[in-house]
Amino acid sequence: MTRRSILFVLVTAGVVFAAQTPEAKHTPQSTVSRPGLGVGGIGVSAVFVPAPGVTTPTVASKNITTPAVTSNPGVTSRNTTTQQVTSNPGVNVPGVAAKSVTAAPGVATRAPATSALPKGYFTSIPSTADQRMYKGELCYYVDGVYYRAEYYMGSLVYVKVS
Amino acid sequence: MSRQWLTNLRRRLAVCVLISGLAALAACSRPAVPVLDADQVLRRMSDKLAGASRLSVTARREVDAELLQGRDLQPVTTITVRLARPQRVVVQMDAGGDRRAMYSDGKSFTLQDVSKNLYSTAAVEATLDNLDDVLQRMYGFAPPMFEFLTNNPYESIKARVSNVSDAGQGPDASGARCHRITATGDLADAELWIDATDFLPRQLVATFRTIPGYPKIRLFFTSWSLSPAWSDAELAFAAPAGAMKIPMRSVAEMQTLLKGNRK
Repeated sequence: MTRRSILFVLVTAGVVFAAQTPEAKHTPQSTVSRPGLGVGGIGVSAVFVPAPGVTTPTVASKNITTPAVTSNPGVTSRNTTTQQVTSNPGVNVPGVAAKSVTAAPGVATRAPATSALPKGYFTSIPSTADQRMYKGELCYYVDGVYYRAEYYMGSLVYVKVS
Repeated sequence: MSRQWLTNLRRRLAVCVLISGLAALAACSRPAVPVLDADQVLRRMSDKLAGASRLSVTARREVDAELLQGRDLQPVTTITVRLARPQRVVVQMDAGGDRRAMYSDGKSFTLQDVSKNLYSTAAVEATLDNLDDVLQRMYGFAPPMFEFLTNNPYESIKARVSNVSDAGQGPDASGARCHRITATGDLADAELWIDATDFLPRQLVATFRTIPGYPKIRLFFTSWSLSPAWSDAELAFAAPAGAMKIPMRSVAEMQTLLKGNRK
C-alpha cells in the first residue's frame, strides 16, 4: 500500500467519524438498550424491570398483638404494638398474622425496585413508629430503635441509626 | 298536460345528472387525504408537543398486579405534569393516600412525599432532554411517561424502541378516532393511540413480554393543554411547613455500602 493510499484511508475514516459523532451525541440513550415505549411508566430504570417477586428487608415489630391499630395523621396510638409488620406486595412473613394493612404517616409500605439493600437498611418499619429527634435529626422511633428515612431509587427506605 | 309534465321531468333529471357529474368531478379534483405512516404520525405528534413551550397533561396510569410486586407502585395513579421548556417540570402523582411530586428546574431535582411531608433535593443539572437519563444513571429512577415530555419526543421514543409500525386507525377508550402505532422493545411492546385530529397522544398500553403473565401498564391521557394558564413561578418547589428534609442516596453510594457489607 502506498503512502498516498494510506493517507486516503485515514482521511476517509476521519470524515466518516466526524459525520457520525454529532448524531451519536444527540441521540438520547444511544448507549443503552431499547427497552420499549412505556417502560418508563413504572418510573424505574429499565435494568430493574424484570424483577417481580423481590423480597426486601423489613423491620418486624416485637409483641404483635394488637389486631387493628389504625393510624390517622397526627394520632399516636397507645398500646403501640403493631398489627401489621411487613407490607411489601406479595411478601409474607412467617408467624405474623396481618389482619389489615394500615399505613401511618411517615411509614413506608412500599419497596424500592431493587433486591439488594445494604446492611441496616429496610424498606418498611412498623406502622407504630413515631417521629422523634435523635442526635440533632428527626428520626422514626419504634421498639427502642431510631431509623432515618432516605430516598433510594425514588422510594423511601429506612436506615437504622441506633 | 302529460307531455309538459314529461318535459319538466326530463329537464329535472338532466339538472340532477349535471349536478351529480359536477360534484363527482369536484371530488376527483380535490387532493386525496394523505395516508401517514407510523413514522410520520410520530413526527406530527412530536412536532405538536415540542412546539408547545409550556404544557400540562393529566393521565391515569393503571399497572397490573405482576408489576407491583416488590415495587414502589400503586395500581392506579393520576399523574399530572406541568412543564416549561427547555428545563422546568413538575410531576405530581396521586394514588389516593399516596401523593408524591417531582420538581426539576434544570439545576436541582426535588422528590417530595406529600402524604408523609418528606422531601429531598439534589443537585441535578439537566434539561428535559436528558433529565430521565441523568436521574436513572445517578439515582436509579425516572419520572413516568417522560418520553412524551422531552424537547424532542420523536427522538426520545425512537431511542427506546427497535421498531414502530402502523396498525391502522381506530377509537381509543374514549371513542376518539386515533392513529394506532405499535412499538417493539427489548422488554415491552406497546400500542400508542394518537388522536387523528390534533395528533396528541391519547392512550398507551405497554405489555411486558419478558415477565410471566405479560403484565401491562396503561396510560390514559385524559387532558392536554398546550397553552396553560399557570405561571412558571408555580413550578418552583417550596417546602411545606414542617416538612422533613431527608437524603437522596445515589446508586453509586448504595453500591459502595453493599460492597462494604460483603467484605
